[in-house]
Amino acid sequence: MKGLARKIQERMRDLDKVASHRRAVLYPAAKRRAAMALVPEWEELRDANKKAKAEILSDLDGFLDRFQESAEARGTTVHRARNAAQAQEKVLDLCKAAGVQCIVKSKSLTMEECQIGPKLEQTGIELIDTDLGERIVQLFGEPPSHLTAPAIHRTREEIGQLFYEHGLVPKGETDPKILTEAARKSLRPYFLKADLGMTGANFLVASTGSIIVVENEANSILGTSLAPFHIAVAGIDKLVPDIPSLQSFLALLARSATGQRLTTYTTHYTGTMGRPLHLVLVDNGRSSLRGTPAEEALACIRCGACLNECPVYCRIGGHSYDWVYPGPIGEVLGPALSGGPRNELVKASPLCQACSDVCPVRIDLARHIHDWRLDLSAQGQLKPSLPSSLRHLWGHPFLFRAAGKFARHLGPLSPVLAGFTKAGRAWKRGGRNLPKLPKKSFHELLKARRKSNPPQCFPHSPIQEKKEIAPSPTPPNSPSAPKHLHFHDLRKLFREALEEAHGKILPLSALPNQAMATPKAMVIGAELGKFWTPSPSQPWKINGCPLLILSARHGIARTGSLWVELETFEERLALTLPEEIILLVPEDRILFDLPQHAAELKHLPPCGTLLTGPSKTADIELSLVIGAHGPRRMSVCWIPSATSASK
Amino acid sequence: MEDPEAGYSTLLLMTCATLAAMEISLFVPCFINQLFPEAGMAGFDVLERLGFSPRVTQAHCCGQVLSNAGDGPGAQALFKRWAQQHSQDEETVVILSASCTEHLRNEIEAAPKRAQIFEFCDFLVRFGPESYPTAVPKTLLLHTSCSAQHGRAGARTQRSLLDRISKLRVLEPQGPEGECCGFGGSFATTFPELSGSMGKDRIAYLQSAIPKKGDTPFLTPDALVSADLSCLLHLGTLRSYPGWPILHPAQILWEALQ
Ligand code: SF4
Repeated sequence: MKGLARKIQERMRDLDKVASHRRAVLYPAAKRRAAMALVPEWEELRDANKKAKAEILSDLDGFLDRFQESAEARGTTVHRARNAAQAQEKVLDLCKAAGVQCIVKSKSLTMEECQIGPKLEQTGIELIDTDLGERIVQLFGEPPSHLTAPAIHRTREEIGQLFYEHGLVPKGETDPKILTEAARKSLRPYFLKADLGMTGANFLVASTGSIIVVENEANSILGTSLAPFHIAVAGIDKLVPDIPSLQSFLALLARSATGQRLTTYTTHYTGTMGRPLHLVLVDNGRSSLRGTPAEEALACIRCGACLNECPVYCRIGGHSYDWVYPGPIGEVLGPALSGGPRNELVKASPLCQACSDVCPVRIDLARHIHDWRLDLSAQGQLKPSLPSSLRHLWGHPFLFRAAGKFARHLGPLSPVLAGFTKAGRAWKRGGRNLPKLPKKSFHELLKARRKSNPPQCFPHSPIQEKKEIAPSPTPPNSPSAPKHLHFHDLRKLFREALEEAHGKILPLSALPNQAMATPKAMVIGAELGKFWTPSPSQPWKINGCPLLILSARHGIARTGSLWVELETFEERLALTLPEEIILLVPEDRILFDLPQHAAELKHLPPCGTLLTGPSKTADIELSLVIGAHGPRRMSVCWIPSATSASK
Repeated sequence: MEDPEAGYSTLLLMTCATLAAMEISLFVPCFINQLFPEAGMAGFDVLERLGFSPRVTQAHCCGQVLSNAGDGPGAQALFKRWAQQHSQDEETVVILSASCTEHLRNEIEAAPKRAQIFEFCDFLVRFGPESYPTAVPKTLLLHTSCSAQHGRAGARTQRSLLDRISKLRVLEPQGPEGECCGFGGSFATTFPELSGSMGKDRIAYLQSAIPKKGDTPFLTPDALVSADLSCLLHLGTLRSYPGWPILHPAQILWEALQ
């Protein structure tokens, strides 16, 4: 109890820091609202998500088996770990067996939760975080402080100084663009030399065995495509039933996290492509939540919206929670997954319900936090947060009223005296005075009135019959494409969404002629065809490819995304390595939204990605930098359907 | 006071007769009883003048304070006592606090006997008059509490009610950044500095609704109003509080019925 309260008290001493952290966090919250305003079926999507997760939780073991079966049918090796120690061991064994020496790792909260990184490092393996935010906290030697923006607690000045100390930039550099570029350069050699790429997973699709990883920077897909070996680590709560149900999650995940329509890369790893792919499925206390009211928390997709909205999180910052899951979701998962010292986290909420309102899977976080308080206190694992004297007073109406009367008799003396009680002292610590008491209570006034004044009736216009305030009719859900949309309209929508994601449309005439003749992929540039075999001794080759042209299956108008199927590692690299990419898509292959896209996915290739704009990051003070680990420019070119380059 | 329109006296008899059939009681929560007696009286008077003849019960507390503090048995005992006071079947209870209403609604859902409960503003928006006889040429600053904002009562009810009063100007901060005022019951004393800082930011947010010098119209608020006086209790004790008088919407309605 003291621990958390004291930590927060200390944190609140530095009000500048509190204010700047709050400002930073309110930014994605505002973005989320703007994105939400453009999605009239938002509430229906939340319902769909909640329903899909409820379906999973009703038969978690069944879905896990189904997932494992489908994944193994495509060549993925699935391991199950009951707890953190087993997960560490599994990964370590795999690394030992493959002789791994250097790992490039992208963001994974489950790995953080299970402390897999530190375990690997203990054995002398080099582990490099490649997500910019994660890299920053790794260099600082501290844990991430937010689910989606790990370094949100650090200012550009602090990061500039850190990079200077690591010899990445000159002293005094604070420009996020330059800092991002420095990180990109410094990480490229690790990508080349790594013999293992590790990722987390945002979703596991039970029906297809797909591992879905969403990211903006391209570090994850780059790492898994360059290294000869891929291990993903994921909690068993990441399951979704199938590809159609995945779409409503995708529709809300990025919008809730950053306000983007879709994250830049939504990569579907469905099986192996001739190199080993292992998935470690971690329970680590999750199944103990099943059948309890807090089971719902397993539906969390880690979008971070509840953190951004939380008046407590935005002031005290992620590190105050002292574990991997901060904010409201951390308060719900704390006692469940961790217990003991995490129990007191459930006190760190005014129960304002702001979190419950925003959760894209409709987890009623405030209710769970409140329920935990009651349950843990009932089990004697948490002290109620009012002193027992006050609780007694409240619990006895007679005493309470007598105390009130006594205090009123004391007049101006009573706030002074109350200031000496424990609660009174605490009240004053918040920059507050104790309330002055009125001369009489309501009940006393009422009694006096009844003696002197007979009731009177006042005229007013006729009363209304029970007029229910009906909630405003929700707009009809439109998951199916509006019929009237012609492909010109779809192209217009697509263009808007793509430009919002910092991609652009190129006229056909801007393309070199050869592009039209090539069915799938080609590289134009000095190192044509050669950069496929990068090696640590020739790192320049990885930077040497200026432009790549690749064809996409179809586009999605509402998100500005392209579905690109990647059947070889070369194609995977082609999408991530060049400075610039151009994607060709037949002009009649623009679909309206994600559900239509899902309907097209009959057979998933081993790797496919929904690409939305050039790679980007906003990990330094949330200021957007285009060009993280992947292409800096991305454009789309319509191909007339007759000369379509697609298959 | 404005002249009653023609036919008002007939209506008076009619409405009093209709409303008398609607048995209601008024619940004045513990802290309003002790700290805001005038708000309680105004609530009572308004209901009475509108012909509802409310029964005021001796119920003490809905149990929210203890429940939020994690004292489940204590809260349950208080709720039981509350329910004993409101055990008539189909009884309609009007509650002078949005957050207590929210708490009671959750408790009642789990209880076998269901009283119909309404937050005060919510009740009058549904069953009260469309307009009030007396204009109240005042400027109010309106605070919407979390229970109203995120709970089931609906953020707009207190505003809808006040909008029925003529000449009343309501200042309400725009923009979505309105966070919790930081009270949260025991939260305020468990994490005092944090709670106080949230209160200060809430005051700044409220202030953003007040026109600046030179703006037209230039208005200064005559009072801070909210259906949740517990928030205002918190804000009002802050040392940085700008000193606006604190009122419940019932007190404005009371003026509109003079
Ligand atoms: S609990 Fe909901 S809002 Fe919070 S991170 Fe999880 S999915 Fe997002």
